[in-house]
Amino acid sequence: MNIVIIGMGEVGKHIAKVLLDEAHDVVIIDQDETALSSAEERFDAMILQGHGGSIATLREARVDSCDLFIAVTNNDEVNLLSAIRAKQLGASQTIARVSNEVYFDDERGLHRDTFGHIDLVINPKVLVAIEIHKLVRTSAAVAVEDFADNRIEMVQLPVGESSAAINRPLFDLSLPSNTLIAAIERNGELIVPSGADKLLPGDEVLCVGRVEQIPKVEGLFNRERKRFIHKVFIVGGSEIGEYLARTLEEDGIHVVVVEQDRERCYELVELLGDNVTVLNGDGTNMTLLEEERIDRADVFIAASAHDEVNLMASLLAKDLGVRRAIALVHKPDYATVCERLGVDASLSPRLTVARQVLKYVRHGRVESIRPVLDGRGEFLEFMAISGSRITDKPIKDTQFPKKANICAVLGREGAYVPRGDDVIHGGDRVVVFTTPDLRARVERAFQRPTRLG
Amino acid sequence: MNYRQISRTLGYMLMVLAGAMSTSLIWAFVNGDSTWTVIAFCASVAITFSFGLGGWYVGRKAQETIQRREALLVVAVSWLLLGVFGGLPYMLDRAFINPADAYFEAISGFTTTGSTVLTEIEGLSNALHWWRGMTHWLGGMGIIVLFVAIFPHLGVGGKHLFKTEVPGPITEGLKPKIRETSWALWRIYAGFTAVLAALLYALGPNEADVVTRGLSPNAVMDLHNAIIHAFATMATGGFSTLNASVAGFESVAVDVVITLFMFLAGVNFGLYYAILRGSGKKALRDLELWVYTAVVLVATAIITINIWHTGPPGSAELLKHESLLGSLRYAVFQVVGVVTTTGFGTDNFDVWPPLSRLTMVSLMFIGGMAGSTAGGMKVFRFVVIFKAIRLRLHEVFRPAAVQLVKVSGRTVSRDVVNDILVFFALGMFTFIGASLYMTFLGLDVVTATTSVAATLFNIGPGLERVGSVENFAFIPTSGKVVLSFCMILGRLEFYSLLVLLLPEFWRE
Repeated sequence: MNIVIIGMGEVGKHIAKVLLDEAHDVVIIDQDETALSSAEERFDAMILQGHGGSIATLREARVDSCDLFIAVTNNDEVNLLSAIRAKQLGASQTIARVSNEVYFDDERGLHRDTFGHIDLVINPKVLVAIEIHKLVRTSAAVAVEDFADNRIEMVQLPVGESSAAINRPLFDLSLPSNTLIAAIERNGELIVPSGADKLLPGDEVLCVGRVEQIPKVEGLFNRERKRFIHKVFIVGGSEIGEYLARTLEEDGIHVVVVEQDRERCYELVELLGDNVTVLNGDGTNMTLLEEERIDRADVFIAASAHDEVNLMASLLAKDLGVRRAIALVHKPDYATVCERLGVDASLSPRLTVARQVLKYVRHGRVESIRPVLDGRGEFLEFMAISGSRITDKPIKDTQFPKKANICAVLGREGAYVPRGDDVIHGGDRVVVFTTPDLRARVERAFQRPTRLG
Repeated sequence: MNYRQISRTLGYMLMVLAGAMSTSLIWAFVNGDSTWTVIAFCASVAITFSFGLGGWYVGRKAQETIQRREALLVVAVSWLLLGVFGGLPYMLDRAFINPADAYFEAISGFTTTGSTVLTEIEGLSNALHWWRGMTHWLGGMGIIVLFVAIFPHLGVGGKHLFKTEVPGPITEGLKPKIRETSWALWRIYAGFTAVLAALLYALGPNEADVVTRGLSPNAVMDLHNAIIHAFATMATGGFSTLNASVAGFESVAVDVVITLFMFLAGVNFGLYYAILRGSGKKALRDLELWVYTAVVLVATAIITINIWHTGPPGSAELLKHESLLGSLRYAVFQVVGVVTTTGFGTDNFDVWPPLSRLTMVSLMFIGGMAGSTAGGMKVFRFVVIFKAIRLRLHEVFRPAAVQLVKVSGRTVSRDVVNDILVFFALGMFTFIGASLYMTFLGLDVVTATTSVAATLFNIGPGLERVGSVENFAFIPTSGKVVLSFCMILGRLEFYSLLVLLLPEFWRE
């Protein structure tokens, strides 16, 4: 695919790296020389210096023949304008990052078609808030991914000490119907399980299935953490915090927002409803957290603009007895450390945006790729086409790679977890779990055989 | 301070006043008043108009528009002058000998208080009755608001004037231009008045009823009486043409209609505007409206039961309260009359049991809704005060919690909350100070305190010697002057008049 990226910030870099690893042709445009020279060193891509809104620059980047145009500078207006121009010049798909909410007519993180010429508009703040909300909703999960228009969901769950699933072979577990364990992470190692494998305390399971069935899985593996959410603490009253507070309040949850700036506190009180308590104070202040009975809170979310504050606040909250702490981590490098230190889940706004953008990058027949467990495993989503090897015969006869696992299928009758006798039809959406080295072989199963001669 | 501009604006205001005054002459001719009355009114109109012309002449070359300070001064001085010029017909028509009486009566009219120093109301000329009603009607929606509506040249200055005169803590324009807002309010006000006058004319006692029921000959509900009572009701004033007030009509229909319209006059006129514009559902979600309604219902319920079967032995009151329905009829009328600060009477609540009497005094403080023609502290302020108290109590044990007062889902800014608390304190201090002065003049405690409450909150009658069947005539001259100022203070909601006392106000 020919891809043009405008803006070499954290998001742009991350997207460029992933795309180049997948051997796409990438053109990078930025105004800043230092950003470009560091890109020059790291990436095997065409580098252009220029303004994203300039027709000349866009022409030079051969936007007219590009398959995907991604505008992720830190300037909303440049992103919007360049995406519109790119589309007019003939780019087949355009994506723009827009942070300022005044450009949105409602509060969703994604927009299609409202801007006329742009295929996808991403609001990073709202997107992050939505992702965190997903984590809160699936109370025990470390990570959540959705597939096939939200009909299939994957959750990553730690296995609790007192879970009934421990030390029993997997085939013996009464998993809810249409769910499946795709992988187990044990001591940093990825295991693709067979029916005879047993779960140990400290394992994390990656569970895939119909979206309605997923909440039932949580109770099975993690009774301690699966509970009804009554009270949520949010440290940091930024736009992310504000949006989160509003969505959680709509779920009927009592929300406590801690914000340092007094004037911003008054703004929040004005914007939010009566079920939100706004506190003026420091989120890392022990006394304040104790006085507010943080031990009674179900979820603690550190969503301030400072990673260090978020990390410390989450650890403090965990120490004071909160059941679950989620931290916003702006620097992607901090994410792994964060979880190792005991924060239950962390989220990087930039990676979230990058992931959202990459969902729209087609990799041959792959609709989207979702790396999990730091890229050691990945979920692939395919649109099956008739005539390919995978379709129109029982799965057990398709010579599908053994180490890859067809987790779920969205067919005409809804989402299901397939067995060996099931048949995939053209037009079905298929979710496959595999490791990166097997991706090419899996992909081949979904391709129409090319006739030679 | 731009004195030329002030002079011109006051001049216009006096000319509007003279115009309104001249309408009395119509009734002098139609109902056949004495020649002396006609001369008195002609002279009053001429004097008022020439002062207006003089004021305009002095300020005819004034530049620039009215700023905040000028607006405050204009409104305060206007209201002080209204008593002087509005009192002229009373003096010239020989209703009073003491100028303080004329001043008190005129101010009582313009501030829609309805307290009177007249002992024999039915002795007035037709023209003077009309003028008493007219002062109510002009003062109800605000003579300055009318003035803003009429004169287009005020521009943004009109906004300053408007905000100074319209009661209530938050005054917002209904339309983009302040002049159009003024017009819209006056049209709604005039519309209600016209409907009420028509209803009273249709339902009130006719000449035959008066004879058969043995009422006062002045109790015939002719056009004159109907319009004057409509004026007094919609302005929440309370001047009647009868010595016995509305009780003199002895008509259930009149009682019911006036009760309903007093209640309507106590509602925020902005809500009517919203209903007319088609956003009625939103208007009905207004918290203040429901608190106002609840106050009326609860007070009526308490008093109805409390006064049932009570009254001095052999009195008319005992007869009125014989049945529960009768008690309800009189309770609801007095409750609405006092809470909307109208002060019409159909029952002497001074002889009610203590619980009912004190309930009535409490209602005096509450008043109607903000943005209505009613006086008092306004329901909105009480809603905010109670919410502010709750927040403060919450803060005591949870100092980090940040909270704002919200009414009907809208935030009341901290400045406005502050303003309301200061307003409340001002009201209380004025109340105590003026009451002390009244006891210094030799009045008993109940009379002194209720006379101040009745005038400060623009109600009309108080208890004991200023009770609903009494009047203010016996109060010494200095007391009448103090009460007149109380009425203006209450009508202008303290600030506009009190700022004139600050030395800083006069410094350039």
